[in-house]
Amino acid sequence: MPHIVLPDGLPGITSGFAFRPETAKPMRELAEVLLRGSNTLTSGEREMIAAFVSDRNDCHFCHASHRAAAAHHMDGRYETVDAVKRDYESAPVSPKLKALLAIAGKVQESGKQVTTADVERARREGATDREIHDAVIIAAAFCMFNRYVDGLATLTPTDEQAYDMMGQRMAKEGYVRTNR
Amino acid sequence: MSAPTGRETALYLPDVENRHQPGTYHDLIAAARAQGAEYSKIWDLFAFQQSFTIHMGRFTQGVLRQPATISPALRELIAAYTSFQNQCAFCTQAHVAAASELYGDADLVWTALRDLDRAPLDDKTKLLLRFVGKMTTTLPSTSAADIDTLRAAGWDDEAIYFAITTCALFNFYNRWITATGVPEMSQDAHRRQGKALAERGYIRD
Repeated sequence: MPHIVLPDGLPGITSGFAFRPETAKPMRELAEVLLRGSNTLTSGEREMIAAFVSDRNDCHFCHASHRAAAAHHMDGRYETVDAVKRDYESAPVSPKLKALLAIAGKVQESGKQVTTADVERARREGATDREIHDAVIIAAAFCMFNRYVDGLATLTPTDEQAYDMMGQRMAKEGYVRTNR
Repeated sequence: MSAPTGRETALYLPDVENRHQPGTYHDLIAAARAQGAEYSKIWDLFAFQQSFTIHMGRFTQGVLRQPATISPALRELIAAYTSFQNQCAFCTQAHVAAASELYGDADLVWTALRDLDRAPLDDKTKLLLRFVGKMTTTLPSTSAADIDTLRAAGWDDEAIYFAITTCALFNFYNRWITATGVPEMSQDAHRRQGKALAERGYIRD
């Protein structure tokens, strides 16, 4: 049950959005820019960072929906997203993304945890300053979205099929839609 | 006091901080530099990736200033309280300054952060601050019982919504700012900025 009276029938974060549409619009636009905007990191890579941080924050709704979005950006390869969650160092992703996930994992705890060695590693693996910064803001933004969802205790679908469809829409249509 | 120039932090990203896109923040930085004035280094971040920061500014303005049953002063106090818990020195100073301006009482604000029990605030406000404190440190953290307690204390859903959203927002800012190492400014500069935030808010155009 949601903790505060939210509009019925909308899953997860969208019910919080519907409670105060004025704050929802910029939140949706933030997600759109961070995850689907023009970038040298693919949307699949960025959604994997989002899913990874949400899992570490124990936010089931965000983890499951962004896991599905990441998979839909990568020809349905859920196994890659799940391998990142289990142990990104051994997952079938690029050395650059592993280095960025290491930074994202530190940011999830605190921005202060990021070390020179973490940044040097990312640069050595080919990450630009912009890409390192993107990993930081995606990780930090999901520490926000996860708390928003947790605090409002929005409706959390338990049907995995629902997340797959949600992820497909997030990947194909994005976050700024007029009907939701 | 002179402006901090270097970065002691690990994550110093010269390509981010020195590459300002044309726009409001670029102009603000140029004006401050021309006067030799101390400026908030968060402007460097706002000037770099405006496709992102333009939404961040609007969101921040809405969350902290939209008319609601919880005052902007208390929302600034929640921002300061969250930032203090996350040990983000810049955000703590910035929002202590804004909250102090809006409450007209800096001692009250600092006492709330350092020793909430002793702060001259009512029990209802202390309860809300302890609730956002839990949200900051532990996830998942919110139970229906927490919300019932807040409601019983007299908070309505709108106030609870804005308290949660403010706390969530500063869990973003604190990580962004500590990771990129935006340094504290002098007390004077923070006081001036706090006054500007209290009077003008977060949209600069």
